[in-house]
Amino acid sequence: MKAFYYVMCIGLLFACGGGGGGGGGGPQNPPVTTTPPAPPAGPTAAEMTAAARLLDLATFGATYDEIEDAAVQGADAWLEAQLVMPASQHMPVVQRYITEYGFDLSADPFPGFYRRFAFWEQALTAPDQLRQLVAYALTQIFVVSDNVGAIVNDPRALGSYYDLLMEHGFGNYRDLLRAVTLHPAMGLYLSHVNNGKSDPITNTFPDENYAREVMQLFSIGLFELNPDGTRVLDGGDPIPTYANSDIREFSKIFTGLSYGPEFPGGPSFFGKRNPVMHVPMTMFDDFHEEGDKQLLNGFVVPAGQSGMEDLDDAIDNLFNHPNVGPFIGKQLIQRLVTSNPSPEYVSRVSAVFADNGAGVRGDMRAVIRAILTDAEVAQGIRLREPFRRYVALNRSLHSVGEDGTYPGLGFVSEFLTGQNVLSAPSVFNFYLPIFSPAGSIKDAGLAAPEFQITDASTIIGMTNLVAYALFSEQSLDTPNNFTRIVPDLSEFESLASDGAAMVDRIDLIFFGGAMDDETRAIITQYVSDTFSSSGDTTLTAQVGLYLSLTSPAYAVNGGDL
Amino acid sequence: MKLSMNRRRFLGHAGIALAGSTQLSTFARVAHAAPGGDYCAMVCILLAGGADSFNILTPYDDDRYTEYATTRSDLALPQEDLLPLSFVGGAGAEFAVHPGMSEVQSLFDSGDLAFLANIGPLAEPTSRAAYDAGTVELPLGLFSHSDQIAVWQTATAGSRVNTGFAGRVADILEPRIATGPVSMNISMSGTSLFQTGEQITGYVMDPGEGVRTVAGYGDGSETLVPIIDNLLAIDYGDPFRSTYANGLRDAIDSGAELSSALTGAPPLSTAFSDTDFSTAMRQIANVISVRGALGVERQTFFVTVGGWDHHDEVLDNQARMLPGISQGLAEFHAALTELGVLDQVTTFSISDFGRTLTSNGRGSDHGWGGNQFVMGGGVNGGQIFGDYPSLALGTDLDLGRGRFLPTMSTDELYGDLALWFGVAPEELSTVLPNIGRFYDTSGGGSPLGLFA
Repeated sequence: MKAFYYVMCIGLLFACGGGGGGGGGGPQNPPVTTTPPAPPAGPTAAEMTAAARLLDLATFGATYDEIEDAAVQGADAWLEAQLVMPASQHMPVVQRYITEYGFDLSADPFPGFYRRFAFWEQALTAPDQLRQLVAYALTQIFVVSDNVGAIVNDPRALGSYYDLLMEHGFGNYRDLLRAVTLHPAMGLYLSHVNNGKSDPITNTFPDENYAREVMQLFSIGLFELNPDGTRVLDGGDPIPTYANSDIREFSKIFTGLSYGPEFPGGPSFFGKRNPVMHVPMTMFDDFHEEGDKQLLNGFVVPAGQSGMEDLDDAIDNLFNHPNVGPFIGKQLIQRLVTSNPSPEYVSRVSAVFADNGAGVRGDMRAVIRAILTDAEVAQGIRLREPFRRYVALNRSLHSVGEDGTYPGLGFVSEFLTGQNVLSAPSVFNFYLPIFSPAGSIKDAGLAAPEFQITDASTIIGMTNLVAYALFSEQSLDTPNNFTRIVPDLSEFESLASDGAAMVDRIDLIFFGGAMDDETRAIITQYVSDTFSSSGDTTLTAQVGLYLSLTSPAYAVNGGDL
Repeated sequence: MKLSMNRRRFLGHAGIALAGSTQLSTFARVAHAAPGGDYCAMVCILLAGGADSFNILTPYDDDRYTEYATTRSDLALPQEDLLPLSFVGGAGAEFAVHPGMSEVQSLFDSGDLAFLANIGPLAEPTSRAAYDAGTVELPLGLFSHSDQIAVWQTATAGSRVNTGFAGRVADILEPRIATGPVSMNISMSGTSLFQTGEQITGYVMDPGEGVRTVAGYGDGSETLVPIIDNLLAIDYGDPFRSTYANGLRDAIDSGAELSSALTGAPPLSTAFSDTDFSTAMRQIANVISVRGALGVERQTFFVTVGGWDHHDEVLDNQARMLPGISQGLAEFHAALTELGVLDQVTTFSISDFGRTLTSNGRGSDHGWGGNQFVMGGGVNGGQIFGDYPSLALGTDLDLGRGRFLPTMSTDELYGDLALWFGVAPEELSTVLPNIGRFYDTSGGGSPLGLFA
């Protein structure tokens, strides 16, 4: 560790040599003396490392300037600023592309991909990184996927869905659950759009799809939970939260919804087949199941209410179930921090979900704050998922097209790693929260969800994706009309003559300062050899980044190295 | 896919290339004798999402068709469109397959394909009375995708375990058979619970790209190879990094062995369609074709075809999707015939669950029992195993909305497969912990008599 801090400081001296450290928040610059050398202005190495570690968790990939800014501000101030920063929405970007390139499904670019362009643009450039990232985490809990025709064709479907997750991801969980329920992309994906009431003559019944998944995946899960996320046991057995009869009752709630009007005041009717993907679904009471509905924990929705009154009652019934805090809280911890939070960690987060300190249940900002500031964050460990590795590479390397656009399709990452944003194979996401790979992880009784999509094919695919981004002159696949998004290696090229400094910079920006000594030694040696034999700064930067970003050390976030 | 990696740049500084060969350039040939006649493979096709299989295998005679049509309402296929099977069950029952599955009809009629009727996960033999009274152990998470897709693969309906049927079979067989340098369990669809054992680690191919190799690894830009090898050889202190490092190491080494074997193999003359399913089946046939070069006596293959959760538009979706399955099966059958291993390869389907016989308007919801197929030269084809139930509502088997209580357990299917594959009768209960509840393992024969 001593050696680590030594090279760390060298790296910082080098970095700050150009002058202009951060401003007010840092320690005062002591008087300059010749021996010993004075520390430079600005944050200390330890402060930089702490900031890098936070930004590694809480952004899509940090840049050096952002790490320095955060180090100057301090972690708490950075986090609070992020929590109140307005959302950089995806829909305005989608609309900009629609205005500029039209909406012709047979044209290039295919309009359905505008929402992918919007994702890349905001993920790489938006200042509200934490909000963008929390929304991304929520895409893996409230799963909707563009592997359905009507969803992939209309970029407004998932553009507006991502905006919804950003709005309510920093709002209240109750509003989040309600908005997700009414979003047409979810209605189409889990088939409760145009879900009619029972018809005894034709022997048809309400669709049970959403009724089941809203409980199993979006709110309470399969079994009664303690506030610490462990199962409540009855004679050693877990207690199911609901039975199939409960699903049939909830299925009656989610009847009568159809697409809303394409434009304000436009026509809308139950059974409308032309999807309208960017406004909430509308309730049509004539097609909503009549009679009372027996929901969970003895709650009865009375007969005679409007469809939306029924729906609000059902959302409340789920929202107030004691499982929601530990069930949703634990999954958010897994997405953002660590695969195996202790029961105490889950308990602290679910307590905040239950009451944010001001008597409010479901305050998502408070939940996010509790997750990221918990004492256990420092011991967290999880496998980095392929898609975020790819986004981080491009964000930290300031990737941008020559024309100033970010039109990423994501096909290459999808092909090589099986992953892309809002493209899961099913409502069960890319991986299950409890997945554990055979071997030492399973033997230790640990979960490691991201290993579910890490196999012989995708682990090499991920390695090749890094090469694709760094060595081919095409970092993201782009449609014909756009320039390629190319990473900018200059920051590392300028360090090429000093292998140790370059690896330090890679460590700070990508590893949150956690690169182990062996990895460091191997890569530093090779980087130094490459420069001395070739004198090629670009090649030196490329191989340094390639070896680092494909290494097992980087593949895992956190852990005791 | 070819990565347009800038190879010149790698080669341009060859002066620093480390001397000596790499692990990769010396493909240790495992000197196993070609397995000759002693080769068996099973191929599991997961129709993920819960296929509406009472529209894959349907009643056909007038009485039973009428019962079917009444219950299914707007989900019923027209009787005149169905493809009848040359099989007559008890009381003159006739059956048919979906109109899009003419190849399956032919395979059935020619004796190389059988159906299993109303099969599903059961923890123990389950009567309706016991189900209602709650006196019987049930599969965990009935009607739920994630649970039922799991128990179909684990064959331990009453408990959640981390190993699957083919994984446990491999654990038992691996020590005593030749398995070659690549895992005997190969998936075209990512890591599967089905193929996960306590010991075995499966190998995963990409259906499109086949064997995936690290770009630049071993093909002219060797300078990075020893560096990557060194990074993978670090003794990481945490199980996450060591698992990742071991995974990448195995992927590189197995990929080199398999691609070397495949490079030397003559191409199959059987043509495959350009669908994802057919592409995956073609890759499986290719791997089977190099079984001799790999020196492997037993293999299992796994392929997932997703998109069967038809809460909506079940008729349109099945009409679109089932022909591709039927064609892919026929193509695979032809390839196995070409390779001369038709009798040695058994292909079967699994799916999360059957679906409600009744409609939710345009689709069907999650059920339990369903119908599956088994294909192979060794299979007693042209038959429907098990009891195809009356599809009338309100019977003892109807748990509501036409969710059918299964009358055949997945253990029975797997019991037949395991014995055929070389698991000894006394080992069956290790592979299938609940098999004794459905079949007397000391009684000889097999649970279903699936194989000739």
